[in-house]
Amino acid sequence: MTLSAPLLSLGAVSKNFGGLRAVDSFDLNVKEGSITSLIGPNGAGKTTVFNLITGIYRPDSGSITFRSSALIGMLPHQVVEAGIARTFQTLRLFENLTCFENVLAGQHCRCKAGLVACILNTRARQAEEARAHSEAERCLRQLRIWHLRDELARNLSYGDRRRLEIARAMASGPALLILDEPAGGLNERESDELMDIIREIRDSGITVFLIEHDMRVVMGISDHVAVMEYGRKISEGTPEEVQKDPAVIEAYLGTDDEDEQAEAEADAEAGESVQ
Amino acid sequence: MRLEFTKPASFIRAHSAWFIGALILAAAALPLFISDYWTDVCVFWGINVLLGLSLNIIVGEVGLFNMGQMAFFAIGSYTTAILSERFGVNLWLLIPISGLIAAGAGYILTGPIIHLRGDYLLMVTIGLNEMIRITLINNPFGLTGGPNGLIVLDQFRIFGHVIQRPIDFYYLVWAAVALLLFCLGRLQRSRVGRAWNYVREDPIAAEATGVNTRWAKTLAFTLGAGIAGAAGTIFATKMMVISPDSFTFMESVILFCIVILGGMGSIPGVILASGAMMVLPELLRNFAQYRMLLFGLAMVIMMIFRPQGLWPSRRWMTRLKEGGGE
Repeated sequence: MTLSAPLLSLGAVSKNFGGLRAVDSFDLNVKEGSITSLIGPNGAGKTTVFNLITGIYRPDSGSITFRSSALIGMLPHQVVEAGIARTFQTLRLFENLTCFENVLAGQHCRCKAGLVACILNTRARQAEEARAHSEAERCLRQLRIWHLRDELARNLSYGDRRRLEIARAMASGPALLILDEPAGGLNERESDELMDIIREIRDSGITVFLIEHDMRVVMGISDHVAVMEYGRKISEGTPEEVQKDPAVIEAYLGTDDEDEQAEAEADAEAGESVQ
Repeated sequence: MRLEFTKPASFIRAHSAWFIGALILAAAALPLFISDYWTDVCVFWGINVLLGLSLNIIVGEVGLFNMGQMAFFAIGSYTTAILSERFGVNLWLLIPISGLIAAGAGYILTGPIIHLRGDYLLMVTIGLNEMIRITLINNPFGLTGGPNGLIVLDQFRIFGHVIQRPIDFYYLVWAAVALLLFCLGRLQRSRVGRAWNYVREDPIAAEATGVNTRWAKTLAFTLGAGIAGAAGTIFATKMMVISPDSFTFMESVILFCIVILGGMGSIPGVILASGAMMVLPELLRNFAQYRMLLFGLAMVIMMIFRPQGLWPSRRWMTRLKEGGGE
């Protein structure tokens, strides 16, 4: 046990959608330098938790603290500026732009040049642009997709698209990286490589918080696992502890179709609320 | 739908410096060889290019559907007419002043509606256009001269030379186009231009990647309105009489079509398409009554055979030095 304050801390966070209580007084601490996973049956409210952290939703009650400052009320782009970057369960790339341009988006909030500076092409802007470029290059190399830099995002294979989205999130220089099902749709070899990359990211000092269904991935890389069902946390601990917890086993055997619908609806709302 | 780059375009790109030089020379020499009538056509083409480029920022770069751009053009034109005739403000000064006032109007008017998307925004901007036009007709405070409009008698002077002949205006307008092209080229390749494209591609992803989408949209609208307003000064001076009839919804539609026809976000596309919109009707004067019909037909054919526009926007390819960035 470390004595330092957690990097991210959720305290009794709740969120209702109409009559549905999607997240129910949810507590969680994400330790700095760890890989923390959030698992649970479909519709348990995992993605909603991510959306609450990243400012896409506003919780009805509870507190979210990041590096001991409150996140609630911040707009999504302000959350990124504060140091939390995310990916989406359903990939959201800038399809008609090149990979390099996609990744440069992450550096947007780290640059300051405004309209006038961009037209005059000032020294400060050039320096900033060069810095953004080298940062984008670093992220593309780290995700092993540097060779695809001039390819349009929509021409990429599925696995590369997943990596590109992670690279884009990494480019904002986050302290906390939030990944929503990074291994979703990947084959075994691809998810092995992904696990290596995620470990590498953690070792470079970035805390990783992820949702994942692939238990091989979750149990393989996580330092800490939290399990959700019906919006509540039902278990928490190391991968070994969680796997033995009877509540977790019951939750996984007791899933049904209604849950999937609930999560799909919640996702649809996530999309609309930002517009 | 895959973007395909036509061969002539890639040839021009490979020798861009030569082409730009030749193009500038040809454009400078052109009015010496054509009649005043055609020079005038080219002046209005240039004004339409200014307007098309202003709207291209909003529609092409950011993907915000605005069918009321003429409202800002009207604000700029009327600002010029009022300040010039009543207060004798110098016309050169009025270009930035009209631009700033139109930009301010753009900023204030779009504040409450900027979060709307697609067709919803389109509806509101149509309303905006009509509101401005009808306000001008109603002659508030006796400022706008009602349906008859206002006259602008002052003329641009440069080193004692009065800009009044078509050829003078030709150089004025196309110099303005060149300046604007330079600025927009810089913007397209910058952080601001990229932010606009991120918003167009996926506003949610842009916001979640750290782009302040509200800032990006508002900036585009304000800048687009400002450019249209500044173009209004040139227009008012050229026309000498402006009335609400010049700023109808139909004109906004044509402008919108110029951007779509040229290829969203494509600067050469805007120039080509506005040329087609201006010059072809002049060539086909005998068929003037069928203009709208031909126009509609052209749009339908375009949407079927070339939905990406006449000159699809080139994806800005980042050129990186071998061995990585600096």
